[in-house]
Amino acid sequence: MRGKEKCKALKKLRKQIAEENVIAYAVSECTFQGECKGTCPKCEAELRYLERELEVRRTMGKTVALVGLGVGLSTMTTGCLAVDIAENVVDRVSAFGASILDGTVADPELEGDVRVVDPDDDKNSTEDGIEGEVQNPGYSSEEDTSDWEGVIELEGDVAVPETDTEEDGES
Amino acid sequence: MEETKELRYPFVNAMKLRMEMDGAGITTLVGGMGCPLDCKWCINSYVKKKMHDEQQNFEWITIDELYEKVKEHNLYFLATGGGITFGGGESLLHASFIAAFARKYNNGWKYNIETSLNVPKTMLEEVLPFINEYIVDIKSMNPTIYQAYTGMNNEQVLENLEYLLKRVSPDKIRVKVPFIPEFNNESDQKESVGILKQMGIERIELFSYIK
Repeated sequence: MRGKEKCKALKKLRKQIAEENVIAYAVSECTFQGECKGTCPKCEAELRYLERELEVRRTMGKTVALVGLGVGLSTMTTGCLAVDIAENVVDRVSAFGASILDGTVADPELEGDVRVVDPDDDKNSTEDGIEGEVQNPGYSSEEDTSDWEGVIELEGDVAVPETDTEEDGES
Repeated sequence: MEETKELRYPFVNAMKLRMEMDGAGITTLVGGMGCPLDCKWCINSYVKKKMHDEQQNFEWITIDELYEKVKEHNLYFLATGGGITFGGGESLLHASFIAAFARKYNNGWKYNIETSLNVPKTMLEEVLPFINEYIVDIKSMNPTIYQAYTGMNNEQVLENLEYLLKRVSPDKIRVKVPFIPEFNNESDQKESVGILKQMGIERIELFSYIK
């Protein structure tokens, strides 16, 4: 999820926080001129406003509702592919490309690049792997290696995705 | 608290507003210096350089200084069940700092780590009470491939992974199995996955390193 999609998700989340806590919050048109990185001074100002309002409520002894508001974060915008890693990936990925995979893990860096691994499809196999015995501390590598159920392949991923939002690297 | 004041973290950067990438909800990925591995395709190879080199782009910061850098999205963290993910480099090299940070800022944030697990078990033990999700880049379960790619053996990795499986719920462990150009192939990945599943790992992801 990048730029405007992220911005929309965050805006929706702020709106939820405001509604749950009966805070006046008017969603206005974004006028930010630069490249949208998911947040901007206006968005951050709205967040600070909500924090102040919530603090006022806390001070007054009112209950503040926050927990659980972001459930389904990955489906807050359309076009965001979400894939549940732990549960029944095969069935869910049949809806590839649609944003109907609720309550799941989304990787904004990997939009559209998730597919189920087909153990019989070795057209992408490389021949340059290093040979050697698989380390097996009491586990049989042969019994279960054909079972790819629940495993997904994330194409194009790297160990640490590139920074796509504000970065706080100043020293 | 006197002890925590002396702890410092080699802060590289903080990548913010990451959505369900490095743990649940909205997270900030905090990068730190240092790694025991020497991976050929490492995209953050600068973290391996010596930390006393003044030319390096990082700063030693305290627990409170890190909090100042990441607190701005507190509301998002609380609303989404998110928080801070420590990456690197090897996050567990700073286990004492992470544990102290999580202990001090036990404010509803979730704490996650990205790790190779190739560290002394004591480091893993230190953070165990505080970590919500372990994101493990396993490289390869084949020791020959692992050694060739990282310059290290993976005995400690396996020991730590087994330890982790005994101590935390499998849903808190996410293991990434890469395709490593010039070092492994899909068949190797498949064998690694099979072993990991037999060990009891439930959350496995395949991905590819970029050469």
